[in-house]
Amino acid sequence: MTVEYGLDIQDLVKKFDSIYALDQITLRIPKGRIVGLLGQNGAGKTTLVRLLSGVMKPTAGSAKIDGYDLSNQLNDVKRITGLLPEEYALYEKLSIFEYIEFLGTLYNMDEERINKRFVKLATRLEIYQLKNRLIETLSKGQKQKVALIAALIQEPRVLFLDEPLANLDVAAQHVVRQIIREYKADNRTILIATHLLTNVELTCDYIVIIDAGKILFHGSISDFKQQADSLEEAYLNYLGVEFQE
Amino acid sequence: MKLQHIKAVFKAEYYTTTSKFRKYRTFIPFLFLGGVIIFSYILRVIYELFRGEQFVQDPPLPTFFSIIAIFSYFTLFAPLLSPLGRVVYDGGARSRREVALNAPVTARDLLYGNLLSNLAFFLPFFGFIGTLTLAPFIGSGLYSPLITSLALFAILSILILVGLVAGTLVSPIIFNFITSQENSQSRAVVAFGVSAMLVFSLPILRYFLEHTTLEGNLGPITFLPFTLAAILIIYILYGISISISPTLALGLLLGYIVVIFILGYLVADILYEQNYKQNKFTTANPETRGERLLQRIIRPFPPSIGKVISSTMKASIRDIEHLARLTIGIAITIFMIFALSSRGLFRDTTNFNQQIELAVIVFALVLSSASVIFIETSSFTVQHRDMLSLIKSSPNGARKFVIGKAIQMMLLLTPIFMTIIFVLTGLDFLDIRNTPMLILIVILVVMIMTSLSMAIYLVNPSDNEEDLGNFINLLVFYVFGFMIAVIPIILIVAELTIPTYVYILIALGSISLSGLFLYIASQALEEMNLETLDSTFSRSILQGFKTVILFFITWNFLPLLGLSYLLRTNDPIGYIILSYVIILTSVVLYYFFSAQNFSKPKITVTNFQSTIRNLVVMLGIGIGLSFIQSYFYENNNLLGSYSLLGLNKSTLLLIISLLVFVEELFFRGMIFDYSRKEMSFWGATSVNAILFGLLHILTPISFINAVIQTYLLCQLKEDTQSVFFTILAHLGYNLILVSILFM
Repeated sequence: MTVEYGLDIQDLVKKFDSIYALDQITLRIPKGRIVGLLGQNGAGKTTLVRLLSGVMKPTAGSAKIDGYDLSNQLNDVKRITGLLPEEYALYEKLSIFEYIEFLGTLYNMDEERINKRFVKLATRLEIYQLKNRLIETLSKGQKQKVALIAALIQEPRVLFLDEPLANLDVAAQHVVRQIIREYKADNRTILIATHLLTNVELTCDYIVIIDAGKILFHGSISDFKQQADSLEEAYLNYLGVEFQE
Repeated sequence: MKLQHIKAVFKAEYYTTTSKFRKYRTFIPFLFLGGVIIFSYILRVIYELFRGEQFVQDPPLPTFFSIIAIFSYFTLFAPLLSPLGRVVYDGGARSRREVALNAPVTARDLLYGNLLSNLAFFLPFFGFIGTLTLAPFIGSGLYSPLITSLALFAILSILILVGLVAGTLVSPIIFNFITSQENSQSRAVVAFGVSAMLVFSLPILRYFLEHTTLEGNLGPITFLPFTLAAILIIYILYGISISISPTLALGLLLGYIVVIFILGYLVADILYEQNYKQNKFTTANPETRGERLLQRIIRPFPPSIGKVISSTMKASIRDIEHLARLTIGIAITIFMIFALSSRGLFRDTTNFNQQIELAVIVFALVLSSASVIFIETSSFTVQHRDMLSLIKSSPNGARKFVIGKAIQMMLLLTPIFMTIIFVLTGLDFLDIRNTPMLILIVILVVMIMTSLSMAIYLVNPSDNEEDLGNFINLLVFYVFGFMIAVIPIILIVAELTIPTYVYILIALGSISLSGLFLYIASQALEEMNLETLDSTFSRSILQGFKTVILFFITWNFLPLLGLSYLLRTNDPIGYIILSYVIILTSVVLYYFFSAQNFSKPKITVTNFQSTIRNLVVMLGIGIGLSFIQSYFYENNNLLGSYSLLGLNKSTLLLIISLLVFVEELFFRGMIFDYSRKEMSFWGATSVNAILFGLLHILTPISFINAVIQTYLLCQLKEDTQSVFFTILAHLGYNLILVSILFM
């Protein structure tokens, strides 16, 4: 059986006490798409990413990640997904390489493979020469690069990125976009949670807008853009905010 | 220098220091003060109760003097914990300092503001530790324990003031030196060197103190602050002047404070300027010897757990501030062990035999190692949700992390305690015969406390917003540590001989308990909801814990009043009635205040059928077990405890019937309802069964019987939703079984 969908989400619900963080999300994303997950602060973007990467359990509903069921194949889901969290979750007292080695080993990678992947990614992101520096001494952008390497180290089939371009310089942004496109070319699925429209426009080919835990729109980015003069205007229309030039 | 600047810095620094207890920060100094008085008083009372006056007789003056001097010496290192050092060295805090210095605030303002915050937090804290350690062992002196404690506290506070003022000034220099090492390994080595200086200065100090005579001249050490403090304490407690007059000693101490204060004013700006210039990046060199050693240590473990061990180990060792805290914990451990050994306070106490010494040392070791372990656990921050989310996003990440982190802590802490024991043994502080035993105990204690602290941190993780959660964690941990620590004291002071198999049982018990704690920890992390930091699992564990506390307060603590009545009047019936009346009253009050629990029994045929069915099963098992019991234990049936009181049959029947009401209202009513709020039926029943079983643990068989009974009664309660039916079943069971046993 060939797996058709990178993400196959059915009626996913997440409740915190009495508040619905996600309310019956149903979504199917074919493999090989770059999905921009758009939403206001507190709309449920991070919650959705946490549920899909297996970090948190849903209240109800089900989801398949690259064919693996979130409820009974959790470890497989974790094995094939990579996660870039909202903030840099770095061990400040480890050096860059030690940190990547630590996370790679948690993903059951052997030493040789970690090394190879690290050299490749770190060289591309231009922090290889800093590999022995402690993370606490790095700048914000450098930390973001380390977090990105951590998310990519095990060549995940499905990649969850929360604001991947934050704090990066223009050249690095370009490299990250390139990497994302290569992943797409390899028929991998990428979900980017962001609130920066320019990123979505430059990178994504599919768009999902959520607000207050519900999906307002999902579809290809060209469909979405046709609804108004610009992406920004279309987006604001969905949120019910009046667009002023 | 402006007063309002100092005040602002003070507030910011104090809030940072006490950030975990934000809501209660105003009360912290008062809490410590109150704690000092209460704790030392309670400890003193316990000792007097067990051993009478002879145990707490005063140590000879020279011994006592050196003990106080050594302790005072250690308190001087308190400022190593100063947040100021952190500001200077820490990469993250660098920007904080830049912001501060960018505002029109001088380095002097920062220094004095920081000093004030140190005083507000660390002064009561270290005064508390000092008094707690010394007070119970001082003996009669001139005054009551209360006044003795207060006097000790006051003088130690003056000394700590000297230390804090000096330390606030010196710590930037120390931290600066540490951070000037470019390589992270050499930083750790330098930091450990500072700790080692503490460890090895103890024997030197002891040598000086023992080779001077108190009547004559103490030599140059007279003018050292810690000696001055010891002189003052001896004078106030016993009215004896040593070497110099107490007024002069006090004057000198205060003089030190003034001098250092002025010095601080003069050099503050220079120090900051120098620190600021230093802007090196620390690197980790993978080719060092320490690194290779670490690789060898983790080789036997599975790669992913091994990597957790080595990564968390590095993170822990490279954190200089964390090392400083560990150092203080270790110093206190060494002091307590020394002070409480037969080479210390009890040098000339005749009835202080080897067994008591061992008990006291174990007490010191457990309590102080608990502090060190708690410090080590707190180095991994639950506050960092995104770190947890990354760990959880890898396959079986939670389990790997919990096991790896626990092993790392044991690997770091066990050698530290071993070294402490070996140094003390080698330098003739400890009895050589005790060493192997102590090492075994250390391993067990480190294992159990490490697992416990992991479980506590992960079951009740609290970010900075939740002050109470942190406070409760700390409290639970120390209460548990204290409970373990007093076991040897009680056993040995009460002169119970312990057979070897009990030691083996204790070891096995510790191992399985550690396993349970680690399971709870990894399950809590696995299930943890990263938004709310809790889970159904954690809530149910917490509820079970609260239930046990409720049980101990109502069923054990309150009836102690009844026990004191028994001791005074020798009237067992009065005792039983009084004890159970107290419990009954608390149960009724509970129902009164939570009316939703109190439902009218539904008188239906099904409910009566269930009652009779469960009663029959209970009787069958009860009668069967009674016969097995009488086979194994002669003259000891399931009613053994009451025949001990020598009651006649009719009184026995009356008491047993009364008991049914109390037990059912309490266990199947209050306790079951309370735990069932957050727990599943099986969870609540297990808690109920263990507590009810412990209450009936005359023999293993009576324990089993009570556990089975609990299950049947809890099931009946769940089915009928009323204690009315469980009372009926239990009453029927007791009356029928007693009648059979009387035949």
